[in-house]
Amino acid sequence: MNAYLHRVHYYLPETVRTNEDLVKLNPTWNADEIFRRTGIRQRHIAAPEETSGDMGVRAVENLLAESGINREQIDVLIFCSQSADYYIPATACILQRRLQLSKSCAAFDVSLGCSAFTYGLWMARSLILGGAARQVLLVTSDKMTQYCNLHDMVTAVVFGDGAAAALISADEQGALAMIGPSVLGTDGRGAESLIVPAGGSRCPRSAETGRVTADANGNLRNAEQLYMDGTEVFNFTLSTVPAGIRRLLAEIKLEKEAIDLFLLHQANGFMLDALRRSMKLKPEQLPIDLAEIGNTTSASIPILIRRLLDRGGISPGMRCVLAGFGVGYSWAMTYLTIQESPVSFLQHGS
Amino acid sequence: MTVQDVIDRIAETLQVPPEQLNLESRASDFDAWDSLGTMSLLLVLTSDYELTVPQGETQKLLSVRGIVELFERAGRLS
Repeated sequence: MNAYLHRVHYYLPETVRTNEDLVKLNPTWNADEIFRRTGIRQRHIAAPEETSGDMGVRAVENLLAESGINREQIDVLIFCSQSADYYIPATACILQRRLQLSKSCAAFDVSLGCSAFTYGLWMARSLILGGAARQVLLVTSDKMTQYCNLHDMVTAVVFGDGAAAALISADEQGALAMIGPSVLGTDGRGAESLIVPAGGSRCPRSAETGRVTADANGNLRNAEQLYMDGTEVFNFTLSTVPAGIRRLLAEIKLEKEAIDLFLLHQANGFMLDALRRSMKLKPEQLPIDLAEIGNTTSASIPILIRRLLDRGGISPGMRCVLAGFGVGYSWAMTYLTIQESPVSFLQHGS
Repeated sequence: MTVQDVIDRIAETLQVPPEQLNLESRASDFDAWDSLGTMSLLLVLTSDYELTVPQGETQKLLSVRGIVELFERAGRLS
């Protein structure tokens, strides 16, 4: 028994926020400097009334429209997000109804950010190999911009909104890739380096948590908005991601030179360049594709995969290592081998 | 590796004249030693010297003395 990634699709909101838009709001910022620091020119922004669930539905509908999958056959729906529609109930339950999935479909939310897609692949594969499921719909969707203060350069320039959907199946026919082993990890000591401090039960919202203050660098935010210690997160990334990838390569008994593509969470251009340098990879081994969409957190890896497919950047037989890492801290690396004849998908993707 | 070698490497990374740096220099004294400059220093330390900066100690990257301490702690100073 194996598990296969069949199809991937995504949705990005129509509205974009360019670096120039941010400079209009922050006259001391510089659009070229933002690009130099992040590799990002613009990011997509969900409409005020548009939720992560809404974006997830759009991504799934895009996927279903080209796949002809029978909704009745989907027996698990995993919805991964850090910006769910409600505290209660799980957004996955709402999506089960909106997507007209079977009532026998198990549906649950997973609260993870940038590691969500690779965690989701690991969960889906485990369910399939364990015989608990045959068709798993994995939805990763985040509206991170709702947490960002537009006057906080650490977060406002990086994050964008978006959603992705992937079908993971026990059936090999028509599959894009076989899902291999994963290595996963967690280090809760990093929880406070990337956090929305207020709004949960630890620190409920109040007049005080809504009060905006400036940090030492002049960035504005309140306690209900996203705080990111960029240097600490970068330090975590440099120490954890190469090590996690080495663990995975040891498990699958391959050298890094044998890997065609390292498909990493698209955090920011500087960080990905640094990882490329740190791991001594060729530029073509580690694609960077966030200039037009920014960091879409949980959706970034499947969006990268789909956009590479659409550009012909993924070929039959390729060996790929996926790496999701971030908030938590949490990380997961997964091995994928592109099928030798993923004909139907590549035709759709071309 | 000497303290001066460390200072020279910091200067090279931040693209500031090495004579402007000494053991007492701090990030707040230099425009180039902003968050991107700090992360560039971290990349040099981890990639070129294989040093590790313990979690929660990246504040050490905000001063020459702190960076020298990282080399010292790793037994890399002569």
